[in-house]
Amino acid sequence: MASDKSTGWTATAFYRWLLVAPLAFVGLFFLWPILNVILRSFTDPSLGVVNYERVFGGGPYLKVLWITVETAGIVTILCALIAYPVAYVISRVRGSMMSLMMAFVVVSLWTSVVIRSYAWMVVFQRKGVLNQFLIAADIVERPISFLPGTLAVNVGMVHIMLPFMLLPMLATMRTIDRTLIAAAEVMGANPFVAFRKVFFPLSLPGLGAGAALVFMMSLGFFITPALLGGPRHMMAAVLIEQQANRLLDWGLASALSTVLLLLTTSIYLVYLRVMKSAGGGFAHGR
Amino acid sequence: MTEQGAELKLSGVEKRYGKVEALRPTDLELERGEFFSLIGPSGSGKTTLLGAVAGFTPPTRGRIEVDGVDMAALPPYKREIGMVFQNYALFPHLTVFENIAFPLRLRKLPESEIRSRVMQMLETVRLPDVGGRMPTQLSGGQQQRIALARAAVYGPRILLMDEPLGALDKNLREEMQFEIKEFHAKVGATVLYVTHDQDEAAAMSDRIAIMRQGGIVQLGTPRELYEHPLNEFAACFLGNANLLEVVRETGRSGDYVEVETPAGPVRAIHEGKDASIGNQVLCVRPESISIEPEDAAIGSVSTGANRLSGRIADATFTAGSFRYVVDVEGTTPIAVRLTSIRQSEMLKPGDRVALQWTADATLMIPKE
Repeated sequence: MASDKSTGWTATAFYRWLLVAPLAFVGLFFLWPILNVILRSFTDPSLGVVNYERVFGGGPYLKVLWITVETAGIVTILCALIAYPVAYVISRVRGSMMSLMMAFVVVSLWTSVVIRSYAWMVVFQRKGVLNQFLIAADIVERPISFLPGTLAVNVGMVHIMLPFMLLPMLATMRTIDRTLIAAAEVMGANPFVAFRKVFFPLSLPGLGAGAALVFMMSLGFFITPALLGGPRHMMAAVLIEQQANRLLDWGLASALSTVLLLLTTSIYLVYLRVMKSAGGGFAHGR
Repeated sequence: MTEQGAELKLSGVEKRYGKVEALRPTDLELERGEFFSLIGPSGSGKTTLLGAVAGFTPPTRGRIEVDGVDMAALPPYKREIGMVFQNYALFPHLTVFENIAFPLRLRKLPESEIRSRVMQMLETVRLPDVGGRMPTQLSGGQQQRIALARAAVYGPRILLMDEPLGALDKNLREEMQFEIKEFHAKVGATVLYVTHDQDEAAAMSDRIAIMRQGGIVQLGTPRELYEHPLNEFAACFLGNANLLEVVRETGRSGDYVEVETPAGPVRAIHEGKDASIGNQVLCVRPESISIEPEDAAIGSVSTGANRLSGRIADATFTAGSFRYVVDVEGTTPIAVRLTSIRQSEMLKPGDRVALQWTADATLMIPKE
């Protein structure tokens, strides 16, 4: 013990020193750039709120922001509707069947977003799989122009976001004690009522976490809308890239980024608040 | 709420999973308002039997009648049965009040009646002030009392209890045994109780069925099972038993039989059983053996009593009794439990002792 003190080497001190490197890294490559962006939105090209006036002054920028929020909302709702039943089924099976189903979910994460977005281009293009099918089935006479377009962006994003909705849902559903359902049934609840009054409310924390995750990721999503959306369905991240890289209007790009950052942060705070008040009693129970 | 319990009758109830027989064809009859326990090791079929009555594990064959109406084919939610689970199964997202109100809301009772019934139930389990709390804010014993209240609030005439005290510590378990008995007296339902704790079953039940390998081994009042176990398994499952090998029968007079054991000659009651085939074993309860230092015992040999001498291998004091393990030549160590310990001094390991017990306390039962 005494020798420990004389060398000044305690485990706590050691762990504290270990933190320095990651903190420095995050500070230098994450916090500093963000601060820089926020700063620049007020200073470039001149001190003031000129950039924000341009963003909120009506016109194309506000519309892009609205499309972004709308798309994120639609994608979140569609993901929730698709993922919930899938997660429910996976949470009910056990053993190797579950591993197999989980593998199907996780495998889609192994393929790059770029490749998956290109795959959707193949499906949606003028002579793509979908158009060929529609023509062959005599549903349409001439190929429909899906690309670039809203439908393609929504479908592509739902596909990419699905695992992020599904995994938190699954994690929550797997912790729901099945004897609770049995108890509800003995007391007179048929399976549908037992689901609605017991299983569904208990699965809400997972649904909430998945929805918050998907919505926040969708707000800043770039690749899929860039590839499938084009000017007709432009989202914020694509617009920011255009302003920063092609038009070199860094001030406007910074202002748009700051707005997006604020939006995401406030949604996260709302989510925390809602989860706290809704789940206070049981979210951290057994 | 204090409706009479229903009559529960199982005939030929059987559960198979492919070739595995989880429950052999079983008949069972519970009287109105009876407290009936199923005991047995895990995998003995007691939970399967309970699941069949609850409706979770529909039987492969057989009838389950409540007051003469067969419900073997009904789903759980149409059976009007109450059930208490081992882990309480309280809904974590609802308050205690809403937990108890749950079955009443399903039955669409008016709000005022729900209110009064829940409050009355909370009074019954002596937790009148916890209605607004969440279940996780209660202790284990309190949660189990709420589970009892919830299972009985809609007046089911049969209450199933699946090891309800399994998750509680020993002292609380004994307190809750009393609470459940009292609760049973108040609500009057017929109770089918599953446990693996023999003492718990003996203390609470009107009758007990000992189960093993998917079937009932023996059924009777706790006292019948203790005093007249049908076989070695039943003898060892309810209470403890010393078992003495039977080498051969040497004589018979009246109700008694003289038997040679590896430890010496022993007299037992035969109850009409024949030891000559060699498939019998003698059973002596640790509580029916008296123990004395060997030198002091010489004068006090009562005629007709069985007597063995040995050396104490282990002596333990437990609250209320001395437990001895005595090495006796020729047989496995014999356990002795002395419950009237007020005057006696505790013997030490190594002491030579004389063990005595009456022929009436020596049962001859089929060997496993």
